Amino acid sequence: MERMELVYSRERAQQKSAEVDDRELAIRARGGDAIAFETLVLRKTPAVVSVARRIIGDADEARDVAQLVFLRVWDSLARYDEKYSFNTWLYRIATNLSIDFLRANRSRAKAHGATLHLVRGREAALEEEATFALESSQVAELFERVSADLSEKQKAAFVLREIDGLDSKDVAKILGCGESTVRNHLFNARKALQKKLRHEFPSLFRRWSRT
Amino acid sequence: MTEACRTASARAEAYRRDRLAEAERLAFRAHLAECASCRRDAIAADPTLIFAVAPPPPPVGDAETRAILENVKAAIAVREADRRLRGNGARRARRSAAALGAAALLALTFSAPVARRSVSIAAARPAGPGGIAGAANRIVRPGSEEPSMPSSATIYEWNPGTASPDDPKIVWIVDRSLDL
Repeated sequence: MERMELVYSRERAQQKSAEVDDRELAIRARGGDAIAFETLVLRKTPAVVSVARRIIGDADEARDVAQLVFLRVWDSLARYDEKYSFNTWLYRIATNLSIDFLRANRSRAKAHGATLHLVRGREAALEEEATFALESSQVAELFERVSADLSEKQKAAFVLREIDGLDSKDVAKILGCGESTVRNHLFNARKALQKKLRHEFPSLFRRWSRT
Repeated sequence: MTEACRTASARAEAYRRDRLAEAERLAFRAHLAECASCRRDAIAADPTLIFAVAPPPPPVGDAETRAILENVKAAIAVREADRRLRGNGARRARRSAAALGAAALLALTFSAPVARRSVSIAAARPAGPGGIAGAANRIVRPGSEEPSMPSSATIYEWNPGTASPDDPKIVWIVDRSLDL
């Protein structure tokens, strides 16, 4: 009896794609390989949502931006230069779209911020809840509160370099500026955040200092 | 206080100014993540370090990732369909324009055949001596003097297809004395 072999199966193609590195997947996707593109989306969604969330400060909006990021990736694959890291290229798209989103929504955020200032109770509660090991969601909330006045670039530089811990060369490529500019953004962001943290959450940091 | 703690403490200021080498920077962050005492001191000195040492957020769930993928695929499908529709529309428009252009060319060709053909210089023929006088007479204004012809002139005339001598002709005179 002749041996039958399954020539093509979607699952098998997905399994094969899962073993391939990002750059190779991007090259295949650029050639029209839909499975390679799907694998990239599945693989990179957590990182893209995470960076978008940190810059934008809202999980639902970060998910919407993540979708736009992958649409932009699909549209721009022809321009992807495989000499460079796919991750850096993807982060650049994600950061730029998050910054655009932030700019477009700054006025709305300001209105939201004004409301927040009226409701000081929640901030007090945050201080009360604070322990020496803050939950990641609490830290995210704290960052969203204190980073509202940073410029988009300062915020992006701080998120990429300080929170995500990326190499400064990569951050410079992502933001499309020099490393010294990244350092400046980071320095100014840190100064502004320190001031705000000490001013708005004094007891939180007094508690740290005492111990 | 361990040696690692002393190293971290010595590097804290350089870290805040982003002046550490990448390896030192990573080592500093790793030490703060594992040493509660150094973490407290560092955050007391610079509260923004709370963001550097915070635990990573919970990963995006599989269902959420799949939902994002499905939305992206749907958006791409809509966009591709739209592009195809626009492509068909453009092709139709190009075909219509080509057909109209061809029709206009045919209409022009058959409505003014003489004017079109008169452009051909190959149709011209050198005139004989009798033709010279005839041609010259026709370009001389009534009452004016007979123009003098250079002896070495060659006169060409061309009648675009009509037999009547009263029909206008095209005449040109070439002075061969200037030939090299």
